Amino acid sequence: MHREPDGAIRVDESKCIGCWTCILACQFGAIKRGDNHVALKCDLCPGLEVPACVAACPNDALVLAEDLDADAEILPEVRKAQ
Amino acid sequence: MTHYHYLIVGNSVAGVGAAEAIRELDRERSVGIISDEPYHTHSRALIAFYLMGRLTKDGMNYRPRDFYQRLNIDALLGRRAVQISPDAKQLALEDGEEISYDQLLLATGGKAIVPPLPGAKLEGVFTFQSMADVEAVEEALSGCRQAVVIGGGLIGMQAAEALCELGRKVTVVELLPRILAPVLDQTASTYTASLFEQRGVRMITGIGVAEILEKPGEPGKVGGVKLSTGEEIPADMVIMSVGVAPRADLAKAAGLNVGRGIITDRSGTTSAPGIYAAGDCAEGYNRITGATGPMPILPRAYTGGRLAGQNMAGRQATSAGDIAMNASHFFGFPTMSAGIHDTTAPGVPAANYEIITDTRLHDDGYYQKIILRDDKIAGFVLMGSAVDRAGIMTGLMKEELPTAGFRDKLMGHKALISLPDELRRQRLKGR
Repeated sequence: MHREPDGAIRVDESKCIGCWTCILACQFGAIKRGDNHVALKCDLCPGLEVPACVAACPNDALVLAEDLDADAEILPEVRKAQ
Repeated sequence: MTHYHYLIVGNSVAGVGAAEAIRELDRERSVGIISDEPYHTHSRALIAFYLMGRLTKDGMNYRPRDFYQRLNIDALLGRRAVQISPDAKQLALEDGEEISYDQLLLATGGKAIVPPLPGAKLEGVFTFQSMADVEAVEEALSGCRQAVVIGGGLIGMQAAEALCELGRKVTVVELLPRILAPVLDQTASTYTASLFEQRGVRMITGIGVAEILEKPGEPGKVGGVKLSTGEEIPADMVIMSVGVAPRADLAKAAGLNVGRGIITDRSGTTSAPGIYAAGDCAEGYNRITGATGPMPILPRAYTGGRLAGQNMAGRQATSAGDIAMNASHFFGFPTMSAGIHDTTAPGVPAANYEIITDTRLHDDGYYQKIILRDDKIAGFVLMGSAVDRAGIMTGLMKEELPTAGFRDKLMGHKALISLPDELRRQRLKGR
């Protein structure tokens, strides 16, 4: 589980051994037990220009927006390394 | 003399957490990480998976290979720190070099306890806590048909699972009446033991080991263990997993305040100005039980390391304490616990506890137990599909929210949507 330069937190499936400690820690219950013991979570649809859920929303209720203030103090090279 | 503004002793979770927090706030001043282990930063918690062949050594890296370079950190690996001089602000290494510092973090972790049993030094007796340990066990595997694991805690049961999966005949000997007592209640412990028994692991509880025996005709080599009952169990390998103690010798010799681990205030500062401690080497404050002492859990090591790093870099931050939590998945079966899991366990303060349980063990191992104290969640144990979305309960416990308004929603499959509207809106806005 790591933060990528675009800000999304993604799972490296080659490294996940399915200990599920992330499920115990996530206060939003956003992480699922996937097949082959790999943690699953929203990856913001990295191959798509707009995430599928946002593209499908009929009423503009779901939007993809960035909170520019939230991580402003994290230096870009640190964010990359995490 | 080499000088680092920030010097970190320890290259594991707490040390890395501190380095990342420092570099978020300060990219100019020098950072050095020193470790007696020669390896790139890796996760010790994964050594059993490495032994089972489910991960390569590179797969255990806690950060990518270019971590130190990218964060502009000097990594002094394979070099042992032997003495701190707090007044001179210097650290002496075993190889004779002295390093000066402005801010020092001790993130030295824990060491496996080796009880003074007769035969503990025989060839074929291992601890199972570090990369060096698992490398030694791996090398001895070819000569091992049967193994005895002394101590049925998390480390011992992970070693037992790995050896069982590798086709070895395994016996676990636990002195306490049940395995995994520090993290599981009676029900979950019994169920977990049955998972091992179904796979042919012999589980012996409530009985101690009197001595480790030499193999007949092969002096110096382990041949088995003798229980306090007199029974002898043959073995080509013995894993000692009776516990892990904070590595606090450096701090103690330097005159720092040390109890069972290094004592710090809520900012991670030790009794010596400019010296911090974090992770398994440092004592923690358990928010749920109110106890102070060693708390060797990975999330605490990372957040404690980050906290110390922030303070070292000049941002004042404090910790409200931590919550014990653990997730395990022996033979693929998920189990989780947090906070108090057994109100009758030693160290649990007396209070009016209310316990809600849902036991369908005959089904898929589904088990849910929530312990409430003054209407707030004080702990839980979950097994099988009850573990899904467990973090919602961890969050409710951390926030100490009264549960009366949604008590009926706590059991069964937890969903954020089932919490009261106001609470859900607060969550979505973040803290």
